[in-house]
Order: sequence, then structure tokens, then C-alpha cells
Amino acid sequence: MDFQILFEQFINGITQGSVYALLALGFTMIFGTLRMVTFAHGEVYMIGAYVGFEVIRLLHPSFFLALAVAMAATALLGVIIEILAFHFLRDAPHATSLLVTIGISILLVNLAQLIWGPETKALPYSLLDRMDYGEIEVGGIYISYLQMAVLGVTVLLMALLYILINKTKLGMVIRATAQDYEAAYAMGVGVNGIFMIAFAIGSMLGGVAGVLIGVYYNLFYPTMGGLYGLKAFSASVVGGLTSLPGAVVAGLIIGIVETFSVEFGASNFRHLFSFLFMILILLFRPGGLFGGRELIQARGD
Amino acid sequence: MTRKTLLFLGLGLLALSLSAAGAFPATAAQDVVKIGLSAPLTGDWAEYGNDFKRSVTMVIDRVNRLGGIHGKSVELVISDSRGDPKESVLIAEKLVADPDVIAEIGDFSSSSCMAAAPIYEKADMTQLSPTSSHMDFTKKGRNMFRVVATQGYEGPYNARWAVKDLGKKKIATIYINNDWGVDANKYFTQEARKLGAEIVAEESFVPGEKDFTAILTKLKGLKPDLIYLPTFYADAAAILNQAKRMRFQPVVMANSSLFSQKTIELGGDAVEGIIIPANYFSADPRPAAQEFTREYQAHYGAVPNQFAALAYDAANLMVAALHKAGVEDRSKVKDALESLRGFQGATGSISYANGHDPEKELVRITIKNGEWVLYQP
Repeated sequence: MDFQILFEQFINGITQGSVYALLALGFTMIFGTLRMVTFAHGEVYMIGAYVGFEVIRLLHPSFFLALAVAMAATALLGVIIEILAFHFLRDAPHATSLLVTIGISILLVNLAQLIWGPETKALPYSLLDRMDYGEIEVGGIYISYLQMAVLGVTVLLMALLYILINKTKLGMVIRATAQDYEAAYAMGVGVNGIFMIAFAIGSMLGGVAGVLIGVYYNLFYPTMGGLYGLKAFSASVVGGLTSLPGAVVAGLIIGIVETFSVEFGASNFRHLFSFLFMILILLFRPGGLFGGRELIQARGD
Repeated sequence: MTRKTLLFLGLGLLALSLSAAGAFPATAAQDVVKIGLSAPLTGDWAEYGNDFKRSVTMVIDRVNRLGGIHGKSVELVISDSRGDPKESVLIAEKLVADPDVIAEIGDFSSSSCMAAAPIYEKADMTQLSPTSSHMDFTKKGRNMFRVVATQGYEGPYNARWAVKDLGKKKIATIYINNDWGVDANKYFTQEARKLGAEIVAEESFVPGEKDFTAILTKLKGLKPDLIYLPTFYADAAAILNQAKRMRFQPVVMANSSLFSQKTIELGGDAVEGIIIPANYFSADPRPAAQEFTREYQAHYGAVPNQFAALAYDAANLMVAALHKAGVEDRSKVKDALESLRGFQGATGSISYANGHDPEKELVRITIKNGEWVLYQP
């Protein structure tokens, strides 16, 4: 077996996996920490990608500007979703909010089709060249800075969120609100504001993922949240749903399993292998890779 | 409004529609013959449907200016199928019920065409689709014809181009895993193997997949002479950009499905040099194609696309068949179409002598300096 090919496949897997991991962070934040079930996160990611696309295309070919605007836009979108799907339905059964988020996801896809059309768009290559993300060569394999940035940003965000949730006062309030908002309210927490802030943070992660992944593949289309959203959701479940490091590790492993199933099997079966692998993990560790106990305890709510 | 008045209104409407449909047949005008056109004029595929409408009206107007067919002027009955097979069925029922309609052109999608086919077949009315490419469409009956080259034709054509003309012996394919892609890959690889080429890998991906690096790394190790990409433009652009990033730049052949400005827009430098066949290319030097490009541009002030060209050929084929078959008997149209010889269309010479799928010489094109140009070997 050619070692260089294996190494290249490993890098491919890490890149693919970090895409899943980055998206999975948002799911973990919203599903795991807030215990809110949303099916619109993939579409928030899509809107973030399109906002970044427009900023780079119309304003200025700068990555950071695109990121900043996309984060602001998706945070706002997150607040709107929170108000529509959760704020007014706080006492309704969980399924009601879930249905509303499905409705919002369809609405967002259709809205994107209205604004940007159903066809795939790409940034002009003249603009991308001006952004000039270089690359390094390792043993004949080319790794672009953007590829590394996706992984780097994922790990950085994971660390920041971990600190935010577990080490700060805001994080404590968020956790308390998620566990029992009535009790938190009785303790003097502004529950509605906290829900909105937490949801905005989760959605912002979708915006970051949208810009990074959108520019990395340079393909923007209204249904881009679909397949990747599903994979990322799965990664966050396999990771343990409440665990941010779990989401990242699971995302990376799924990416690597997928690329190696292409190398040693057939590409038709890549999703078969990756989902089989997830089922196996969940059979042996029903709570996911990390943080199983918390989740099993949380079944009560 | 009470329920009763609604009921009466409904009954009234029913009676009206019945009288229109059959009870009191409209007296057939002696000097007019009608051709139906069923196409998606609104909805997702509206652009294609309107390409049909523009080309077919242009041809019919010209025919009428030159004195019609067998002394009768031709009236085009245009119906909007909205890309919905159910709607195409209703249109078919309407058209076969009108005794003045001699034949039909349309629809755009294979699903619409195949849903309506049994109705046309029962009425023995010719259904000529410019674009339906599903292999089963022309097997639906003796009255079904198409203008577009199918994958059953294009695949082997490409295989001959790759193996015989270009001498490539080691071929890998990456195809989209849907009905179309599986067929396109199958017909190509079958013929290529028959011609003695080795297919070193056949890799597929599900629609929506955007990361092809794993497949490409695998192919890079197999060192094929040529890779064949039965895909659409967004996928092909992603595949070739990722290949370029990993310094893997083999000879690339793909399908007519990539013939679009979008391929260049999304693909940038990475799609340079890709070779594909096309049904119609505006710079095709063949006279029939040149004449169509001129006529269409003079009429509409825009360069036509392949959908307009296919519909143009469909209309001209229909007119030629009606000149031959007369305009009295629907059932004679199919025999006339089958007996046409040497018809030169904008999309190549067309003959239905050996079946209702045309055999034609496709035009070979490539991308050079960010533009589609004729392929020069």
C-alpha cells in the first residue's frame, strides 16, 4: 500500500471531518446545552454561507469581514427563530416547537431560492485569488491554509464555548435555564433573554461554519444545509450531544471513516459505512462517546 | 353563499365544460390545422418551456408566411404543463379531444412525456418530444419520438471518442448516483470495454455530496489516462477544483449536461480543456446549425441554447412530416416521420429509420480561455 496515498486520504478525512465537527458544534450548543430541538440549524448555516458570499462578492474580499457580518446576521436569525418557535411556545409540548423549526427550515430554503435562485453559485475566481489563501507542501501533499483554518477555527471555537459554558457566570445561567427554566426564573434569572442569547450563540456557530465551508468548497446553493446538516447532527449525537469535545472528535472520526471507506471500499458505500459506524458506537455507548451520563440523567425532562 | 348555490354553480360549470368538450363540438374551421405544444411555461422549468415556445412559434409563423401546409394555415395550441406530469395528462386529453389537432410537440421532462404518452398512443396521435431522454419514453408506443440524443446513444459515442479517436486505454469514471448518472456511466463503460479499454475505477457520489478529495486521491493512485464525469456543472466544477488543488490534472471528458456558461463560472481555471459532446453549439460550422442561429438571433436578438435548438428541430421535423402525410389523418404522421431521410437539423442530421431515437453526429466542444469553443483534435 502506498504510504503517500494513505497520508493524503488521512488529510482528506481530517478536512472532511472538521467540516462536520464545525457544524456539529452548533448542534451540540443548541441540542445538548439548551435541550432545544431545532431542525433549522442546517438552514441557518446556509444563510450564513450566503451572507458571507454576498459580503465577499459585493463589499470586500475579506474573510474576516465576511465572518463578522455572517455572525451578526445568523445571531439575529437565531433570535428570530427563538422567538417564533420557542418563546411563544414555552409551555407547549416539545413536538410543537420542533414542527415550527421544520417549518422555518423549509421557509428559509424557499426564501433563499427566491433571493438567490435555485441554482448553485460560486464566488468568481478573480476574487478568491485576491484573498490568496496559500498552501504548504508536506511530503508531496498540498494542504491549504483554508483547510487548516477550518480545523483551527473548530478547535478554537470548541475551547471558547467550553470555557463560556462551564467557567463563566453566563454559562452557569444558561445551564440552569436549560435544566429548569421555571426554577431559574424563581432565582431571578431573566429567562427569556438567556434563551435568546444562547440561541443566538448557537446560530452564530452556524454562520461561522457557513462562511468557512462555503468558501472552502466555493459552492453556494439553497439546499446546502441538508446532507451536511444531517451528518453534523449525527456527529453531535455520536459525540454525546452535551459534549463539545465529543462533537469535534466524533466529526473527525466520521470524516476519516468516510474517506477510508472510499479508499478501501467503494464510494457508493461511504455514507453506508459512516452511518453503520455511528450505529455501532451508539449500540455500545448509547450515551455517545463523551458525556454519556449527563444525557442519560437528562432523559427525565 | 349557501351550500346549495355552490352546488348549482358547480353543476353549471360542469355542464359548460361538457358542452365545450364534446356535446356541442366546435365546428372545425376548414382552413386551419392545429399542432399542440405542451411545455412548462411557468414553474421551475419555465425557462426551458419558453425556449420551446419561442422556437416553435418562430417556425410555425414562417410556415404560415410561406402558405401553410397543404393549403391550410397552421395554428399552434400552446398549453402550460408547469412541469407537472398530471398537468401534461390533462393537456393530452384536451388535445386528442380536439379533432383539428393533428399532432403534438412536447413535453420538456421525461416524467411529463411518459405520463401523457398512453393518451396520445390511444388516440394514435404523434408525440414528438424535443428533450425527453429517458430510455423508456420511445418504448411507450409507436407514436413517441424524440429529438435529443439519449445517454444510450451519447455514452457509446463518447466511448468511441475516448478510446478510438483519442486512444485512451485506461479510464476512470466518477458519476452522480441517480437514474441519469447510473445510465450515463453504464452505457459509456460498456462500450469502452468492448473497444478494449480498461476501466480502472467507477466511483459514484450521492447528489449533494461536495467533498470529492477521497475519490480523487484514490484515482490519482490508479493513474488513469482519462477520467469521465457523467455529472452536472456544480459537481463537475467541485471535482475539478479539488483535483487541481491536489495537483491531479488528467484529461477529462464529460457529458453534454455540462454545456452551460455555469460550468465556466463555477469551475474557473480548473475546467479548462474539458471535452464534451453537445447537441447544439452556436458556432457549429454545419449549415443547418448556422441557419438556425441566424434565424433565431434575427427574431429574438439573443443567442439560442440547445433547448431552443432541439425544439426548433422538432417543429421543422413535424412540418416536414405533415407536408408528406397530409393534414387529415393523425395516424399517418408517425409513418411520415419514420420515412423522412436526410433531414438536416440545427442539432445534426436526424433519421428515425432504425427506431424512434435519432442517430446523429454530435458536435465536439471544449473550454479554452474561459469560453466554450469547437474542439480541434
